[in-house]
Amino acid sequence: MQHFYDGQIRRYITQMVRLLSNFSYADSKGNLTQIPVMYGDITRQVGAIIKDNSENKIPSAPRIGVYVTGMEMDRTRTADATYTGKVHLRERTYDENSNEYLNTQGSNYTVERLMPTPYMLNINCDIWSTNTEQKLQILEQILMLFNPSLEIQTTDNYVDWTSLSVVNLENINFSSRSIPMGVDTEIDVATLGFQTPIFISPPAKVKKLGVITNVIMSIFDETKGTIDLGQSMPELNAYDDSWGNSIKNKDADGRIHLQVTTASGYDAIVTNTIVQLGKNGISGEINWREVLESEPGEYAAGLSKIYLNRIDLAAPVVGTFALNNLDETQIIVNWDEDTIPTNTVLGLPNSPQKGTIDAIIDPTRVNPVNLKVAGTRILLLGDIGATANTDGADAWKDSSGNDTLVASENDIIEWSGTQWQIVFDSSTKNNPATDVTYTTNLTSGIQYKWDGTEWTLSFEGEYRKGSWRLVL
Amino acid sequence: MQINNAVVAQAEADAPKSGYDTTNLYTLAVNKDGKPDLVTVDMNDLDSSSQELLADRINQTPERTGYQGYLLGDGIPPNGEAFGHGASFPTNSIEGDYFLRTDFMPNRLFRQDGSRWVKQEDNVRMTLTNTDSRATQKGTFVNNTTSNIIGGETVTERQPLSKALKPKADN
Repeated sequence: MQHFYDGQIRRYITQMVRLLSNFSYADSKGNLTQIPVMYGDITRQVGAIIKDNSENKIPSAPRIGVYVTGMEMDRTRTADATYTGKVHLRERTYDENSNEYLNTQGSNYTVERLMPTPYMLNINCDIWSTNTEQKLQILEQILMLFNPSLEIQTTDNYVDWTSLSVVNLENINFSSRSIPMGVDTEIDVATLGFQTPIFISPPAKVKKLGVITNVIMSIFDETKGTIDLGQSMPELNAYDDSWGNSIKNKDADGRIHLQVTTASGYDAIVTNTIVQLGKNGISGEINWREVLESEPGEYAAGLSKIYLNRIDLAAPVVGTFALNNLDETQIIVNWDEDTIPTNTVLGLPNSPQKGTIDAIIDPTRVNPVNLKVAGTRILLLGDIGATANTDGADAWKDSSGNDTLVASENDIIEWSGTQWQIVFDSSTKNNPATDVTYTTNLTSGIQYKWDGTEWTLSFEGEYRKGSWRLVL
Repeated sequence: MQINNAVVAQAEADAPKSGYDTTNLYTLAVNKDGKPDLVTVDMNDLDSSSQELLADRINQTPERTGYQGYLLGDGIPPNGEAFGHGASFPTNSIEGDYFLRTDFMPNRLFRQDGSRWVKQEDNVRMTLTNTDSRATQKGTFVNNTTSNIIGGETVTERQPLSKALKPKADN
């Protein structure tokens, strides 16, 4: 076992010395003299030094000696030895430069404390006095304190649940001398016997604040008689634009199957690199600090992360973010490109192989004269050309003036240098399992996904509560 | 005495005052919905000319400390917020201000809630050492140098119980 020592019993002894300190006695002239208190069980070396290395020097009086006479386990106070008490704390920010705490939130912690072991500590206090009057003065000042006991504290640390204890005066031996007195004139010692219930604690665990921020409950379905984890569990990571496939409160049949509760209770609306909070369909009105201040952890611009979970992605989309100081309803996210779906490489056998497009246009409204650069790719928002059409739109003819392009809505075409060629034919990509295609528009930086039916934003959109989270 | 003083100094370092020290802990101010109560310029119509308001303030001051326990009151506002002190409340104050009434024994901390001053806590933490200024209930009977003028006669307040109001010689 690794060495561990926290001086716990030592602290009880020092507090006992403190408790008995600062008492005084008045001599016959009324002069007050403070009575020294020392630990009784001193080492031989220290004792020799105090006596100036002389066997002929006797200790002075009055004096109070404090020492431990015994310690036994207090079985009446034992409790579940495996119990771990947790306390969650948020510290104020500490300024290392000025060495002071600021009035803003700093690091967050969870402190785990294992059940301490209870003991009874027996301590004696010897009061040395040179005469009875002196002894009576000292005793009167001390004895009136115990009614019935006196509280002591070994620390003022908020997380130390063992620091508080009481001192009980159990017995009093008024004098060490025998009556009648013999020939010896030894120093009279009155002894007070104290007992204090104490705890001996193992080290605590100081961890990063760990509190539950998301609660996702499967609701018992009385029509089936079971909680269908096979149905509900995939939805824990689900996101889809459609209500039916998202983390939802109600199923298609109107019954509640899943209940999601988050600390913030807000949805996240992702638009390119901007994320806003939304509730009840309204976004852009909620200050992000409402979430950042309450989440466990300490927000750090550019280091804190946001995680987006989607049903169609095995891993979450992750990005580091910073609060927009000009508009705190927004955070600006720097998405980790490794977590964004990889663009699907497209291209004809004799053309460049790449996964990006350069523009999205409606071919019936835009003349692509400026786009006729070899390698330029366009996602079409409408059909263009027809086999039955003998003279199509001039803008979409090849360099020889022929109508070689017949493309449909959702196709991606590329200018080869002489003509437009289809590199993605949406009419043949209609299997949602195998034909999923990702491509990024270089003009806007937005990535799109072909799901077999339509192009949608690949990961941007509305994330309902429970499908996104922060790691500060 | 040097050994005694050194031991007491160590004990005072371990537990300077009774109760628990929470001055390093942060209390998040929340609104009636349980959300963080923000007072940023974006969220509120703030009068920047107000002397009481800090330009960099983000959170409202807490209505109460977020930590519970035995003897936590130290007369210092949560999060180390600025506070005034005196024997009477200031006339110009805004919501969230703290004020320590030093005419209370023990001193009492108040917070302005927008319309009135609300008690926050009493300064009940004190040294565990038997000093001459210790002001526990029992301590106030012992550490007492007060004298009163009663019937034109100066009467020392602290008197031994056996001698208090003992009849004088009545010849």
